[in-house]
Amino acid sequence: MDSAEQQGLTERIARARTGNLEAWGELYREFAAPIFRFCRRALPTREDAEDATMEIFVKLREKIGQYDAERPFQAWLYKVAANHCWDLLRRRRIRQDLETEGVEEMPLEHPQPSQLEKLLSEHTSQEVRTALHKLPARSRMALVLRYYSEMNYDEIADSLGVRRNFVGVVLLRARHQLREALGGSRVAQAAAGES
Amino acid sequence: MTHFNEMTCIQYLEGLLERAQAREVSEHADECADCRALMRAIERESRMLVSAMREEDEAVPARLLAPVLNVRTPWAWILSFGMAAAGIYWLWSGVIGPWQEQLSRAGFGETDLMTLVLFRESPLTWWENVWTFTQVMAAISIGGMGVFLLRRGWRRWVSAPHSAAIVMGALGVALAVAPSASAVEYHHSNQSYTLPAGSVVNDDLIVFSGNIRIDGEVRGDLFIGGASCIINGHVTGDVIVGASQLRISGTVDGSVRGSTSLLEIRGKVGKNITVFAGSIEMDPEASVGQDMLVYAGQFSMAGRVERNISSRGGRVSVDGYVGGNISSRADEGFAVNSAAEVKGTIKVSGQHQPEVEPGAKLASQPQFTYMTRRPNYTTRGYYWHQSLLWAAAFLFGLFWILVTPGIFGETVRKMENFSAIGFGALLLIATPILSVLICFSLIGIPIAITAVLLWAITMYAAKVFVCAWVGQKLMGAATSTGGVIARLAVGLLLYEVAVEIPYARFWIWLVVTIWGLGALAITVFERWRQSSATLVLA
Repeated sequence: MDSAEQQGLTERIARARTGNLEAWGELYREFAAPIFRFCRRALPTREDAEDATMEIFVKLREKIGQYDAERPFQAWLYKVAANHCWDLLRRRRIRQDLETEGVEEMPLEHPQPSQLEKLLSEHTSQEVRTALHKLPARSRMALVLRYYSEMNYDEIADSLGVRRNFVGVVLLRARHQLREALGGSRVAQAAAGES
Repeated sequence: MTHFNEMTCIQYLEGLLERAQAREVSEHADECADCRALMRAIERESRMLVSAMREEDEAVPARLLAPVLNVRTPWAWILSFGMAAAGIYWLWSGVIGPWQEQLSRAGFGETDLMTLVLFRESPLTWWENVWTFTQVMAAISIGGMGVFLLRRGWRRWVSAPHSAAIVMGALGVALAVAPSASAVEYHHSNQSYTLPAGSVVNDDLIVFSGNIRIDGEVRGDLFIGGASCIINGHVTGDVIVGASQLRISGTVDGSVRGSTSLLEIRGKVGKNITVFAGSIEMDPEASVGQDMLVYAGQFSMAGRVERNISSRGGRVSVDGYVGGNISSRADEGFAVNSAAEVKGTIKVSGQHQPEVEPGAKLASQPQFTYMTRRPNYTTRGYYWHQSLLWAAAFLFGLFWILVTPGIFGETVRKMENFSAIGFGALLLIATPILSVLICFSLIGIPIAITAVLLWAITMYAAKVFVCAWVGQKLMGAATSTGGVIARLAVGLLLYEVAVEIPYARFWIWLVVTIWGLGALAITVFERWRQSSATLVLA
């Protein structure tokens, strides 16, 4: 985003904060699609994503007064969206208690680079997205926050309610789960066999 | 350095390592082909994740392309409309129906107050079908709402602890907000109010007072509520009345609508008169510019009505000029006096042949249809009407079962608690009294109207819970949602049959309403108490 665009956004946000409906409409048109895609990646169904997108914008209107203009607006936006989606998932008890048990202690087998490359070559982006939805909620959410919203580890820790040091483990485990979902259990097995 | 692990590789690629450690990793990768390969593979995986995540593979749904301002509107409107329709339905079957019966016995004839409420103009040709229309709308809207809920994933609503409050609240808010929209002049006193001759009010005027006298001019609509109201002056808009007596000696340019025990018309009404009254007396000098749609125990018409008259009630006496047709259901008799002049047709139904005095100028002789007060079990219309009653109640119950199964089940269980009867009786009596008192307090009319509407809807809902309980007692406890629905259907069917028993209708309705109302109130109260306790603990 160049400086002129950034200035325009800042100005729209300022107007929206005063309750200007036109500014709200502009912000909505600008960010509804990215937020919908975020929700689409994070939540199980398209209908959930639609509902969540609308609810997030309602929340944004309520919380706009809390936005710190010194921070990037998109980061704040995704933070609100992440909290909302994670709350939804938690309320529905999608997160399994067992999921968190002993994750730190569980050994992660070292991947064999050539097998991993092969796995990535064999699959399309669409297949990755499909596999993403087979992951446990927290793993999926962690990947979405990191690779869609570009959140840093502190922000991810805050959104998921885990310790900062644990975020790396969650992300690493999520990658392994994704590889398995893509049918790549052989990546680790092969590596284990070679080591 | 030894080979680095996957975690270190990711952290290096994401720039999370300390500078020294990062340099170490970089140097090792330059020397070690295996680690370099791992780094490349991980980097490729990261890129693939980013592109898979960000690819715009799906179009944004059309409903999200609308402005965010409409986000909550559909739900609020759907719920409000559905519940309002249900409320209207209840008003008819729970209140107007019994009133109608009692008024009919008292000589006031059959009434159709819903037409008053729903339509501003007097629809002379099809007002007989108004209630059927209302019932169909109630059924369609609640049914449509059910389908919508199912499609959108109603299970999410099931877990919402306050969904019943949202449903009721949507209607309440809609009702509470609406009256405050327009600018009006408002007067409220227990004694009397007079708008002196020569005074002008340039807005709508709302007056609640013991005795009201309008000698001046109101340039807008006039809303009046009180014991005695006299309009000697000039009202340029409509007059909406709820009073013991209303006398119009002045001029009303618009229409007169409302309810009063005695309506005297001596002046001029520019448009229509649509009233529910004990008695209507229209003097020879009075005139109505358009139609009259009246419900009155006694209707004596001696002035001029430029268009049609449609009436229901006890006795009708025509002694003036009618420019159009007369359609009347007059249970106590219909008389056309010698001074009368009717340009159109006269259709009369009731138990007595119309009496026509010699000298009356009629375009044609009255057509008479004999009508009994008892329901005609041989007509298809009767069974259609009963089926609609059942279907609307069933859909209303279905709504509760699907949207708030927790509250529904709990309320049905509370039926076993006989204290519900006492609680229900208290609410039945106290709510309208409190609402009237609120009208005279600072809080005002919107709150009172909201309270009465919620009370009315809850009273209608009472039948549903009792019927579900009865069905359960007959068929045993249900093990699935389908079973609960089936028991509700059977219970409602029994109820509709039971209320056809002569003389028992009112008492069955009363017991069922009190019982169900009490059970629902106890359930809601307990839930409210629990949620309050949770909030305090939090």
